[in-house]
Amino acid sequence: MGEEITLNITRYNPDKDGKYTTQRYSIPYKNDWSILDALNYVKAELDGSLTYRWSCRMAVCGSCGMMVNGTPRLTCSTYLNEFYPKEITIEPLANFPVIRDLVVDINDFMAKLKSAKPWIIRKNKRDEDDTSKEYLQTTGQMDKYYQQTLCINCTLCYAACPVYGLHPDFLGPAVIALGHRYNKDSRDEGKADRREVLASEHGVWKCTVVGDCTEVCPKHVDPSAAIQRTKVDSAINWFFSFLTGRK
Amino acid sequence: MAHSMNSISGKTEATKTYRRDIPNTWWLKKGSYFLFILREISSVFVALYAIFLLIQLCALSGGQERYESTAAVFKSGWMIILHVVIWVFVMYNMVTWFRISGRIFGAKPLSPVLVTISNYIIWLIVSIGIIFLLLKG
Repeated sequence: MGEEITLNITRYNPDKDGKYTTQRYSIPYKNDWSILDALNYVKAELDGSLTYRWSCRMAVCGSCGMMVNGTPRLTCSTYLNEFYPKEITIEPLANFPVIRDLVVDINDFMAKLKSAKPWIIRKNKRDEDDTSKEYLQTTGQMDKYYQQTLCINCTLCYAACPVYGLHPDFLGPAVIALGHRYNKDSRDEGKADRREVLASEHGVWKCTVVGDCTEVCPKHVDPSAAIQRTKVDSAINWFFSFLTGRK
Repeated sequence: MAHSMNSISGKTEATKTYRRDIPNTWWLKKGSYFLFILREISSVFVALYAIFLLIQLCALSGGQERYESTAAVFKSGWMIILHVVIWVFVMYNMVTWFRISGRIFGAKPLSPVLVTISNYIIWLIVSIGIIFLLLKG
């Protein structure tokens, strides 16, 4: 018998009694296994009914986010050796409704993402269709938004954000960070279009700067800074519109 | 409720979801949440200090007798202890916001550390200036 490690996994079956439980699994300990490898072992060898999302296994797709010992993590890039010999508790991402076992419902996030219009907007709509036109950028212009392009929509920042947990109508870190990304893009002209969403009651002003979104981000997007910078932009815009009377 | 497509029938079905309750003690679960709440509470002490300052200014405008009686209250033991507590919270509030300002304004060509250090330098210069004025007076 080799070394073993215990996983405490949250189970929920909507077709049963509507209550969630925690199930313990003892699995072989492998130094180079990620949590996702361990879950795949459980599903293949111990319990085929265990349900969770995963895809790329290399921290790119953002599907395998779960709470690992209470912290939102990508399970493909979190390794057993970080916790061994202690037990590991694996739960679905916090602050989201749970569909089954470790799978959460991110429809709310997807709808909010669309509302922030995370794409390049041109005032002249013909520009958007004209693929022959080039929009050159300097490295300095690209630096202004590059960090936010790294977002993989894994929603770990939502699971870490107590404001989103307490006020689910809050737009949330990733959506604002992506809105900010396009606002800072020199090719974009849609800042005013996004403002009514980003600077709304449920937008940036709901953020109380807890900062955990930045701490858990696996791609170092720093959504907290993006939110605060959007607040500054919004305040400056309000100030000038107050002075000039323009909207 | 979440809605999903049944891969066999092709129909959209409603799935019963559950949302976990957030206890009122959520901020005790993580160190960063606790420090956040502490920062929020510290703003109450910042406001309290501002109120005390206004009270003293009002007393000053009310003449020497009124100011001296107000000053006597502020020199009492419990008031000094309260001011030490206020000072600790105001310092904590300042440190956290200096750190956050680095994050907000620390984009290229500036760095977050440079912005935060600049705040401390300005704070130090202003403090030394005030101490100098007080000692001179």
